[in-house]
Amino acid sequence: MKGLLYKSWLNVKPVVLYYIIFVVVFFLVSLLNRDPLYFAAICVMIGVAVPLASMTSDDKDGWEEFAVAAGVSRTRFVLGRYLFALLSELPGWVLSAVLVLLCEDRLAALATVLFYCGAGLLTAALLLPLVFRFGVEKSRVLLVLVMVFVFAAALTVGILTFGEDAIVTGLPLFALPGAMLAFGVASVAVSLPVGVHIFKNKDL
Amino acid sequence: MSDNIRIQGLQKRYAGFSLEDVTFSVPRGAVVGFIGENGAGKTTTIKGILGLIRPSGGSVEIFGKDAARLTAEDRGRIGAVLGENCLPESLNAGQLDGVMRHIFPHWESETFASFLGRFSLPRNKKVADFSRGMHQKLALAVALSHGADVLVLDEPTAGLDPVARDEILELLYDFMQEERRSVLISSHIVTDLEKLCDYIAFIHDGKMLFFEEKDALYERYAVVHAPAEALQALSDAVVAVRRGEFGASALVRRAKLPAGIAAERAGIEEIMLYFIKGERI
Repeated sequence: MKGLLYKSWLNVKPVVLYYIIFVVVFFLVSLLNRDPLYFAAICVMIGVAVPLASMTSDDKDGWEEFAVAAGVSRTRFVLGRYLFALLSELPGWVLSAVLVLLCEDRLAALATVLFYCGAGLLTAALLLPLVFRFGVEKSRVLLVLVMVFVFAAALTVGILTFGEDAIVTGLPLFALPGAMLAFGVASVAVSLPVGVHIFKNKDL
Repeated sequence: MSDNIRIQGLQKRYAGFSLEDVTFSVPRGAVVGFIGENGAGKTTTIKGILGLIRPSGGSVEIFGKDAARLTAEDRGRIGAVLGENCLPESLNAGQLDGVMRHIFPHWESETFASFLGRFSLPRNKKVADFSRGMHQKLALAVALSHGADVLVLDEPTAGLDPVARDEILELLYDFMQEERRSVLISSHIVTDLEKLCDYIAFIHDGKMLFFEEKDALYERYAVVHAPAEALQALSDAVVAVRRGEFGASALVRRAKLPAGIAAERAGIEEIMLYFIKGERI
């Protein structure tokens, strides 16, 4: 597993600075507004863009063929991809937690962050099996559509539920975020065996 | 002599191409040359050995085990070079070392470093910036640095100059010093195979035409140059005929050739060409 994760890291190392700059800008926006919404929402995109960049590099390198020929089991290979996706989301979650602590209404901030953590998991859960099935290039259009849809939906729901002009009121504060997080976790739990099944039956 | 690789009735169907009943083995202590024209099924067969495709039928055994049941430890005993550009191009040799250390159970960094030195391969230059020769040498260095007992090489010398090819062949000679080892090498450069191989496996259009000891092929086949009518009289011995501007020639079975008929030694490339492009009479 270490070898797979190290390879994934080396794939994105040349471009990680650009992602960091992007993240810092949105972190500052959220910090200045004392609202984690902007940062948490962009983390959904970054949390998928980073593993996608890694998988693009792997596709170009023929890494799937090399790793499987070298004896990496197909299950382990898929697990490596999911783990890297999770690790790509982790810094965003940690920084979101920092933002929560800096907010006046910490409970509301936490609810926002939890919602988008769930959205991030859902996005990864939807995208990874597609990439296993079609490869990064062929599924690129579909990936963009899924990402835009999830991002837009998550942002819209967030604004309508948590924003200053919220129109959905009266829900317990953590109802929607809790549901989204649970749905995200459940999506990953379903997505992983689907990804394993697809990859196990794929000719490389 | 036991086999490191045994392929029995391997089948794989794609739209427009199928591998049918491919059967041959790679004995311990032997080098098997795998020849066939482009699209004949060499790479598909090699992918079947390495577990990269799901066969439609047949079996592949490696080290006496079903290939589908090999452990990571077993797979670590197989060194593979999968044609050109088979290494991550965004990495340099140093980074490759770091990755491979955690991929192969018995990765030998010192051995890898010694190959880098032997081939004068820079440690900090990206693989993408290597010449083709450097790339193939690096691929072999990787394949030889994790305790492999079997090498499966798909066109390892393609596009290389004679000096680079010779260096690679020398590596393979060194590898074969240990009796328990084997090499399966596919190549269009038949002269390289003639120098190195003990056996030749010939595939055409998804089917095995033969799997023979190289020396047995030389003894079995010969080339006769004669007018077409004369070759007709030798139809029992003739495998295939090729007609040219100045006459005809035929690949013949020596055993069935009448005494007194002048025949030349048939090289592996000639045998291949006659089988594929020759006419049957």
